[in-house]
Amino acid sequence: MTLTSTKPRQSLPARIAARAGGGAMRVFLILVALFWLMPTIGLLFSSLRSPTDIAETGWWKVFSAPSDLTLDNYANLLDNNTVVDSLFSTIMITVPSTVLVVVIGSLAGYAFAWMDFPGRDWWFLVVVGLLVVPVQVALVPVSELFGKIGIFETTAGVVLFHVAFGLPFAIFLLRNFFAEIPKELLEAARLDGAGEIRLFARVVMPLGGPAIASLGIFQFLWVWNDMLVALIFADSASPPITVALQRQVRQFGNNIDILAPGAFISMIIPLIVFFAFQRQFVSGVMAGAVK
Amino acid sequence: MPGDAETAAPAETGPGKVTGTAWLDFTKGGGGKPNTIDPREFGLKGIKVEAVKDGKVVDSATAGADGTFTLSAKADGAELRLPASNFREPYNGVDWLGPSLVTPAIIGSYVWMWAGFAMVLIAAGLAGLPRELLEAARVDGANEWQVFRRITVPLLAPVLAVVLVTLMINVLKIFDLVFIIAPGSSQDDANVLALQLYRSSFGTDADPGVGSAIAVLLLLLVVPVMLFNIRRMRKESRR
Repeated sequence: MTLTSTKPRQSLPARIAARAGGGAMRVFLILVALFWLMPTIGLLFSSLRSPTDIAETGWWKVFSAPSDLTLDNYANLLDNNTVVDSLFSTIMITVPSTVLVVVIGSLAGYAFAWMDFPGRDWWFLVVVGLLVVPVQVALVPVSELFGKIGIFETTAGVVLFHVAFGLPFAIFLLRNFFAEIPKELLEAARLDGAGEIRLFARVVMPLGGPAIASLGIFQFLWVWNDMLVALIFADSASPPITVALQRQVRQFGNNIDILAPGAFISMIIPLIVFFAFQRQFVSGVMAGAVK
Repeated sequence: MPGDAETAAPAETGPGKVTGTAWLDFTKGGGGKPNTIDPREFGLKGIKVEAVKDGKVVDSATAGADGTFTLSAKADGAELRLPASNFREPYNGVDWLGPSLVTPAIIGSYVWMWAGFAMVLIAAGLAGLPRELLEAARVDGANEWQVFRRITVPLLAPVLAVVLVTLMINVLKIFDLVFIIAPGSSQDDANVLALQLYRSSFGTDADPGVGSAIAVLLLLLVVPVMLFNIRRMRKESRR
């Protein structure tokens, strides 16, 4: 793998800073990071202020009057069935989509990397070609199809759609990662009498950890943040959080007291997932992308 | 409501003219009655009123500060209307979501969203660069800029290409940012392929044919990238 360097692990900004001689560079980088975080910080503070405060002054006023902060918005939000239900339906869509994509993707990735079957390379080229097909292409025909077989506006339909469009990337990423596993390892296991399933479970899966983790994060984030598919295929009576929040957007005067905490909650959950897998993520993200 | 709006007043009637009041029939805080001018309801200052007879505008007037307006006798028996131009008046001042700035605003949020992704990919690529080459160039007396321009960027080119292509495809498909950021009034000015597709197929512009045509166009737009990817894969598998 390209990323296993022998140098001691140090974060990239730290290395750049060290090379540029510290001081000015470090300050500059911190400023850029703060600037980039600004919208998120603003969202957090807005979500902690009362609706009247939000309407009258900007969120930066919290620095002069920190006592105005309140958790009322969050309390109201959690009392609000629409938002809680929508979080629940987001989870009901995201978790199965992610798990299915990871399971099917890693099985297929293993087959494409290490098993011989007729037309393997051609099938893989088809997968590579499907990588860039926009979801929009399938919206009209698939919605008609789902309508005919009765899963339009159901969670199952949304999950099926996400899995279908998540798989090409999953197979591509995992196949390329698995293909770099040293042949000797697999051959040794074969000599010891391991079958394909055992090989997959005992050799390939443990070694593929980073790639599988980053695929999991990617897929989780995509499905979690998706709005287009949810807007069309999800049950409009209990929509996922993105659609529920979008419905709170008004042209004149926003429901900021619902929007801000809702958006913050919908942001913090993927962030927790991200940090849980972050170690693997950075090393796995390049898997297959660059040789 | 303009700041200098006054409470609405009933218009004085007189011979040879048509008068009336244009007011916001809504009392803040509640308590107002529909179709009567309540004490805390404001006149719609500056709103244009047109008198229409047989499909033609025969007279027009502009309401005063208290919302009253006067039309000439020509308007007698005509139907009064508030022309659409009243409600199209451009907002004066910096309006990030107005017609002229909504696209830059969306671009800004898109850059904010995806810069991190690009940075992670490029950082991972940078970490994989062979240090020896950079050191060798420095030993040969290249300054930092030359090292960056002549060594780092060319070595990083595959990563940069991947990032560029990925982001280009993503931008091509952009939907949710435009759908959410652009308010209804400037959605037309911010319109993109994916949004029009949604509006045609599932939204207000009900015309699935146009929607499907846009979908095909989107597919055609990514075909070159598809071919590029396939060629790259075949080259790699030959090695």
